[in-house]
Amino acid sequence: MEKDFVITGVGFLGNWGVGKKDFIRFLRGEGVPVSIEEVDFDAYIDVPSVRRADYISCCALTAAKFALEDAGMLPISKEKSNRIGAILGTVHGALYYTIEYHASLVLGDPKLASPLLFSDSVANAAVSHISTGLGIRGYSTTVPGYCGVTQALKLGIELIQQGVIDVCLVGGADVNHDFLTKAYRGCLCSPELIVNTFGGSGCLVIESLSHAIKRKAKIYAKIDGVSIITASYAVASCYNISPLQDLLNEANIELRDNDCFLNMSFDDEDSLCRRDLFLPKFSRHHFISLDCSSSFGYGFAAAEAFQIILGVLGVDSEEYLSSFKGINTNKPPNRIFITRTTLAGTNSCALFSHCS
Amino acid sequence: MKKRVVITGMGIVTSLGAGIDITASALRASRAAIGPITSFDTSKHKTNQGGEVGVEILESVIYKDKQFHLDRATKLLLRACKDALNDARLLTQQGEYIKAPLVVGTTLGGICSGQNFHRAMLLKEDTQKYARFLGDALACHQPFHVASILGILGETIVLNNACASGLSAIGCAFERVRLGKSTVVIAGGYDGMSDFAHAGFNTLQLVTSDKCRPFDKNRSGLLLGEGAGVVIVEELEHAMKRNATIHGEIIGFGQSSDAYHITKPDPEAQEAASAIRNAIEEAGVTPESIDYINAHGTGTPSNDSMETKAISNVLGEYAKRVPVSSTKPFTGHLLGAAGATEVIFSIISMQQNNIPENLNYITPDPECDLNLVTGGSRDQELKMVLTTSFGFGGSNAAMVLRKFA
Repeated sequence: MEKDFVITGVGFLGNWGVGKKDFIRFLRGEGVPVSIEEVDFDAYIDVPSVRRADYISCCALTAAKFALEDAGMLPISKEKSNRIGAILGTVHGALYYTIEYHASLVLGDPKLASPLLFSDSVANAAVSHISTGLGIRGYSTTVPGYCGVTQALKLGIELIQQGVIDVCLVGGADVNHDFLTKAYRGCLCSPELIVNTFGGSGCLVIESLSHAIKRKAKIYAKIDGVSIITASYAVASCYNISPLQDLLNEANIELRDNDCFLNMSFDDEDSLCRRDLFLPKFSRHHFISLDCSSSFGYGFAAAEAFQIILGVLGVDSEEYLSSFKGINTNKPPNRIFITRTTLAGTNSCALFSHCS
Repeated sequence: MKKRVVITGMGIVTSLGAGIDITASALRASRAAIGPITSFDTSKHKTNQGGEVGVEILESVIYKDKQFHLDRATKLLLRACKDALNDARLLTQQGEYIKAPLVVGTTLGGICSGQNFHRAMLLKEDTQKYARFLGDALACHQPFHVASILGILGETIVLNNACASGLSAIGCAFERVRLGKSTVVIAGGYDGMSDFAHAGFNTLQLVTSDKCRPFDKNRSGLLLGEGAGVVIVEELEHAMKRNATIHGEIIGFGQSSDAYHITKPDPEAQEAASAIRNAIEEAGVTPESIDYINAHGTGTPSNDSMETKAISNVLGEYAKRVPVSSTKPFTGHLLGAAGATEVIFSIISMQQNNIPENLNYITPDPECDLNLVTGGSRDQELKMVLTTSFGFGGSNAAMVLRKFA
């Protein structure tokens, strides 16, 4: 059974821009966010079926194409298409079409509602557009959840281990919409909280190390472990159970000096709490907080995908972490833990290391 | 070494009722449970018929000590999950926990709750009043609530493969146990009846105003239903050690994507066939060992002819001899719950040595030249059953189940 898994391709776009250069500008606080509705998807993808699709499908297909191109896997031949899978995490799915379709039912005549709006509102529409648009015929699925991308990563590794597929495209996508702001103001514990959502998609190509070496792929990072815990506590609160300990136990890993932690948190106070949760001896390690309520926004699966991509690129090149305080930018850290504590008690931890 | 994987608990809720016994007797007696939909206004749609779960069943899962709002879909999942854990003798007492992953499939999650909030927004009502509904609107919330109420502590995974979601979830659990990553996984599928789905399938012209007639020449579409099916997927040795009752064994699972169209199945059925072939290959059996096929059989013109082609492609001449039936006319199409409930129907069929009837079948269709079970349920020794699920976006899944011996 394969034990070593690597990332060989990344692709991402969001309302901060498209590609690695825009991503670095965004991390440095220099980018100007635009609405996802203003992105010219036709410039990147030539798939007629997606032109009329929800923005989430446009974002996901574009990011998937970028990632597979980056991994040198396009076009996908018919012979190999059954050996490639696609798994996409999302929290809200095709929000634009779901809302538009429902509005047409409430305010108009259901008989006149567009069938396209309904079929594209199902959460697996985006991954279906990926498999249809790029010719992926292996296992494909959508993982709705607050750690959906990390779960997609774990599932992808398991499928390769089982021999079901050789390569898996994993990623996440969510779009920003006024509805989210109103809805989360309504249901979060702090109604006064200003919810800053952003949208986009990030995708990664994973495969076994031996498969990557065989096809001479560029390797960004090695995946040392993935762990997810769902604590049955309260739907709108985090819970203090650490998946880090699970990961360390499961993968037989010990923390090292200069390990870097890239943590997604709700706000500064929350971040400190998370730091204590994940790192009882944090002084020996770098701890970077990606604050949801300001710079990173509540991007849900898009933010999770960007967080993971930042970790993957971070062990490959110093450029990406240089904007964060306390990091030695002369060389990238050898290992980055991606940690998340999210709503519905879902906590996750993934570890990436430099692969020489 | 790969482990043997068995089913040690089952919980099911459909319009037929809640529980294995009531379901088994309805299947044997060819007693469908389709009637007028009462939970929303159907006057602007093609039909008012569907497979709604009774209010008394939905109310049976109201937990008075929990103050939060539960979506209709959550109640269905909760009931099925509780029954499955009880059946497997794994249900914990208040304050205790069971450490096992919960893997579930759904198509629309808590859409009813999301709709309530959004309708209030559109009609400029007080949205604060409806804010509590949002706590159970997203697909990841239902299993969370169920885990919270039943004390399930482990990873919860939600899979969305449209109408193949339930079978995908059980397949995921099977592979996880088979690889030795878990010893027990709680797995299944669920979806509640909603006007969103009913209107959507009407808009797509997939709903019939007639009866649902899978594989019939005059089939004109599906009828929707609601429900949940949950099974306890367990490693054989672990099950035997605790003297669990073994209902059946999962021996093969296959899944594929058409890469063809967002709603239409590939008429050539190549990838649907590949999912079936992979399941049979993984099971390590010959196609001729399959005693019965519980087909996806939605009753739509395109699905049933595609499915016939897929079955014939893999089973060859034997496809004309192996008994086939679709159980969707009994309950309606349960979307994310369909695959999971059909796994349970398949196990029940093996336990009873009785194949459910392909209801409402009158006129043979040369494009669906299968050995359909008609004129009542059929008594026959069943050792191995194949069940299939196909969904929007070209999601295909198939599973081979075996009587445990």
